[in-house]
Amino acid sequence: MTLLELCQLIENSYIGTSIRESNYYWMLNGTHVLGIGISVGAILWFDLRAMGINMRHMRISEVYRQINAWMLGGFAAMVITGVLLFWARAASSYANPYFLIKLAAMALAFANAMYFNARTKRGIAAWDTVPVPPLSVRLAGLLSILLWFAVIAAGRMMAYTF
Amino acid sequence: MLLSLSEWAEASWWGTYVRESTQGFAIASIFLLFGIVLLLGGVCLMSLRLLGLILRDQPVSQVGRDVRRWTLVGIVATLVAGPSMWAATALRYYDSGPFWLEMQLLATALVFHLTLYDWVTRRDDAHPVLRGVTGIMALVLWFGVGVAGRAIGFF
Repeated sequence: MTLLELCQLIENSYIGTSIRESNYYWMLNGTHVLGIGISVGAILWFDLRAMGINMRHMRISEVYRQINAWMLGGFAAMVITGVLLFWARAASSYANPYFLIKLAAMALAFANAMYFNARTKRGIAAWDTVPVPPLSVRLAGLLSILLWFAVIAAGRMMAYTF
Repeated sequence: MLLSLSEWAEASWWGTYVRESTQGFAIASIFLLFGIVLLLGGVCLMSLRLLGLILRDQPVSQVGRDVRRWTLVGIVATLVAGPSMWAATALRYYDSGPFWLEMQLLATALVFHLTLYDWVTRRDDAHPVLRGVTGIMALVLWFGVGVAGRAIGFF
């Protein structure tokens, strides 16, 4: 079975059809967007701090600790609703180039976050309190913002090209 | 009056441009979403602080200073992108219930944002109850605008 056939199977499944034809489909969609507003909105503050642009008076680890729960909550809402939305339109998503761009940007954003995490474990003590962190940290923050905006842009384009 | 305004917007060069360019409407909606991320992100951070749920060791006025600029950038982005989308399809929006709900919520949210919300987030001596009410109102109003706006595309 090819990936496309698998996606067709998912889209045509009982659950996929039910979601697609549900009167509450728009709410699922709305929750997905609001989940993005919350999670990406939260990450943005951390990224701006990592770039040394905003909240310079706070420790970087403190900003992270404060927004963490909120960020994860928004992510959970976004991922759960995202999976359900995909379920309803798996085959059309698979055939849509913007979906692949979105997946790639998400994978890169994830890799960037993992890199940042690893880097943080090693040396955060040296730059936790400085207003403007080292270049590599600032670049990781910038990359995160750009990648998440790319995820949003590709996701929005998907809706117009189904 | 609203009908003639809608007709005027849809016939204007900007409305025509957004409607007829290949990806104009989609690009406007992307910028709208970027604005929403900045706006909702700032409002969430500030409101959670007002409710005493995060950043408790930072004074309210300090958090206000940190997020105010970015939130305003978000509002400006939505106020450029949103009307562009409206101008492209004003007559269809004229018949849309959720659109008018969104406009009423938006007007309320903007007035609230520039008055009570602005006042409370600039000082450290506002009563905790007033802070809490302001935080909840900000979340309800701005998320309400977002949900009503999302509903336009479906009804």
